Amino acid sequence: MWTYIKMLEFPVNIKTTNAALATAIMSQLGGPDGEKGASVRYLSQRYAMPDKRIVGVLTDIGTEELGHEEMVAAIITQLTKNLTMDEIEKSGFYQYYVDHTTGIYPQAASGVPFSAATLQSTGDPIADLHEDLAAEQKARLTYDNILRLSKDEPDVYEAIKFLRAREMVHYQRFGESLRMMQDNLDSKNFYAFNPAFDKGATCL
Amino acid sequence: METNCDNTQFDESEVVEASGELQAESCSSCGNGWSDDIRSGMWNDNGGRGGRGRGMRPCGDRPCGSRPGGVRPGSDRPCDDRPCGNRPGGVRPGSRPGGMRPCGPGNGRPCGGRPGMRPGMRPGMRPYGNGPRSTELGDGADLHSEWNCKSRVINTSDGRSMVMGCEGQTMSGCHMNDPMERLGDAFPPVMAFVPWQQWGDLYEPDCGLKQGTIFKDLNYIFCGTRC
Amino acid sequence: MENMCKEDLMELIQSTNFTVIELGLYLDTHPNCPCGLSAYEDHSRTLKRAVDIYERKFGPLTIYGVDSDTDWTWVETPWPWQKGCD
Repeated sequence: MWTYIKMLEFPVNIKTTNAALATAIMSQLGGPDGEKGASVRYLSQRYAMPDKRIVGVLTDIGTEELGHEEMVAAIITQLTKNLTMDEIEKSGFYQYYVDHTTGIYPQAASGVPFSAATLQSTGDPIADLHEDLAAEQKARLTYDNILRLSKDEPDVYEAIKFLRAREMVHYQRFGESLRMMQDNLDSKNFYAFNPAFDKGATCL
Repeated sequence: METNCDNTQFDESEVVEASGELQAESCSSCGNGWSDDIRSGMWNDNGGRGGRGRGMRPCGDRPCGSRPGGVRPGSDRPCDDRPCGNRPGGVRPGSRPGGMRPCGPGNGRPCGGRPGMRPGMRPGMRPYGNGPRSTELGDGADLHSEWNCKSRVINTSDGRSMVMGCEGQTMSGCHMNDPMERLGDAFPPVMAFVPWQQWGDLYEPDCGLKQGTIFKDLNYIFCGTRC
Repeated sequence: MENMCKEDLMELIQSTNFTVIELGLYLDTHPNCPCGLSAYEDHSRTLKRAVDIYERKFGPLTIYGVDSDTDWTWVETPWPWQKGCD
């Protein structure tokens, strides 16, 4: 189960409004490579993972991603808190505003609602870990793109920089998890069987 | 006695298992898991055979601390006085300042290093890096089947260990001059391998929070610009 | 630590909490690393002490840290995304 800590992992204290930036950052909340997707992905994959150390990695990173989702929501909330109607109309934010006002709704910047169709939990450890490596790189590049957009907003920039760095550390941990899974298998044929499902492999 | 491609001779009975040489998972100097024996037999950048040396990854003209494939654009990672090819924060075995690493108690194994066998392994499983026995090489272990190359590790009469390849074939185009491609047994194909992080220098907590990681080795900043 | 103001203590808690999380992830894949274990122990000790002081003086950080002799302060202190409380 989970305990909530009444504290952001990294402080978010944004003093200006910026509806356009909020729209872009929305993708890291509910987009295809966002934090909600990451947490759902890792916390779902952990049940079929046969190596308890990798279950630990998936649990701990999945939990951290929940905290990142909170940070992104905090950024968007603060960027839209004191928006005027003029700013809403002119920035393009009106499309989100009409359905959600300045509430938080998990969707991509394009308006596509969050969907588990953008993630997988295959029940095969090697496939799942490769999915996770790719997910971290996709999140990292999305943050690269957001950093380019937020150079003039230092409060936003620092928080995004933190979140981006986390993706790379997570990539390293998933890479090490893949190495641990390889250690559990026969290097003559890593794919002889699925250790989460098969009981043995006659060709080994 | 058998004859190498360069007419030096070796004793076939001294063929060693590639697997047995590749159990040194961690390499604090290169950080790429190569054992000294394999590295010392590496071909040098000019395609000739390397002698038994310390086994550092050839650097060519790469700047200190840089990665194969060139320096990252905008990279600002300091090199200090690390020997070429050495990992930041890494300490070569036998030269250990500061006591930060290695970690493994009593065995000098740096954190991130792995012995050959691991607990929980099922009988019949091979330890990491234990590829096909050298006498079986060529049986699904051809590195470059389109060139009809077969490779194996041998000990020569003058005490060198070498990776033999492409007997009777030209080496060009075989990727045998690329050190990374000669690790077929340690890193078999059709699989991704991320290097183990070694315990290194840490940021203080307040700086680590700002950077997004406490590990200096994992801090890769973004400095892309469109104009 | 006992005499730190709320903002400074929260800064200390955030940075130490992050360090402990980061070390925890490292130890998930390096469970036998004595350097990591030692660093984890040091920073965890600092974190526990800082959280005890903060909760006693400034309010709960988890639902388990409420001093129920007074009010239900869990819902009284600002939520983390509300400006001015970080």
